[in-house]
Amino acid sequence: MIEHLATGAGLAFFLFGLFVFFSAVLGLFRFDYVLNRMHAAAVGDSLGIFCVLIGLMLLHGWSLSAAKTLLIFVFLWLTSPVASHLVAEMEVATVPDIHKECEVEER
Amino acid sequence: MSKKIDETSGWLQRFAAWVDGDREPPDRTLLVMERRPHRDFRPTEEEFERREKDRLRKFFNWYPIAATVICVVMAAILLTTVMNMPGFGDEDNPINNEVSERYLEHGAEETGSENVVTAMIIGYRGFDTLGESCVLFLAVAAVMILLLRDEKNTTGRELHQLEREEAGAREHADLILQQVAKVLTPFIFLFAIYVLLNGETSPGGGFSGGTILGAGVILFSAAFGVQRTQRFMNRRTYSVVRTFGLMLYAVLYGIYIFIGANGLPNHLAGMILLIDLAVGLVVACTMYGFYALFSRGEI
Repeated sequence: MIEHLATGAGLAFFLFGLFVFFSAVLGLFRFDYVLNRMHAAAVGDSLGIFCVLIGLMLLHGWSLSAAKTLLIFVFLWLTSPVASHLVAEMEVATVPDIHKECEVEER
Repeated sequence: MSKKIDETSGWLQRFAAWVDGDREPPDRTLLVMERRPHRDFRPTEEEFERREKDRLRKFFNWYPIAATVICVVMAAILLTTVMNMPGFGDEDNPINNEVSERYLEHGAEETGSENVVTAMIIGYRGFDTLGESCVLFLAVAAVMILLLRDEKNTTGRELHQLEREEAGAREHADLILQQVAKVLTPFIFLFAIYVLLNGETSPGGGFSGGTILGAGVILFSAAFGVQRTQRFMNRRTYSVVRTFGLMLYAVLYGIYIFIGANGLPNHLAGMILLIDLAVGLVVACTMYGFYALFSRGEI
């Protein structure tokens, strides 16, 4: 029973992750401003990868590979937001009239 | 073209002018067909724009159709090729010949490496890999020739601007990047060393490990700036490490070939490991060298 439950949950996670990735790629190609595109890519890299990897771990059960998957996922969660942050910061620093594009918090 | 051709100019000049298509006065024309007046059709601005728009619209009408047709044709060609290929893992595939059989059966004992891929790359086909390492080495040398800064190709203004940029980067250091780099860099280096040293027995080896090592150095350099990177990686160290890697490889493989290649495997049990290390050093230096040279022109 519990195995079926885990498989079902894993499948659900996996499919949701695929959907998130699909929408992320769609956004990456359809949006035209860099911050919007960065947002789309970051969604794929954080939520999408989370759902796909959790789904894989649930589908395959606990093993050494699952532990490595967890490590990969920690690594991606550490690095992907930083990359997005750097892209956004570069955009804010180089575009002179950033206030026209979006709200900027004064620091 | 603007040269005036008249009666007094020599025949050579006139011939050259004729070849160039310069205009001559019609009564002096020699061997030239009768000229029609040039049709100087110069459309107005709006006309031009309208025609351009028209052309674009036509193009965008046809573009999806053409793209679809091309994609479908390409996919059909590739799929037909795949269907006609021998099945995956078939016994009588052309790849199952005596060469791969030899590699698989005797690779471990002849080269001392459990990992067949490493045995092939560094044992059997070591010269090929040596050539690749040389290509990387030469690539960095070529980029250095083009981009390296010294007093002869840098003006004071450029230096001043560079210094200002660096000072700005130091003042507004990115806290988020620095914190993450502080956490991650040791693990990246650890993983790189693991991959480098485990190439003998598991997937990995010089190229992948060296790439990870170079990426770690690049991350450190991007997060903490040039000064702190130059504490352990200045130009002198860089050159020494790079040259040492290639020399180590060349010398080891030379010895290996000289004492009979696959006849004496046990004399050089650690050879694969050392060569992996040498390749890793060269690759890491190439990665970091490209980054440093392209971003600020010095190492």
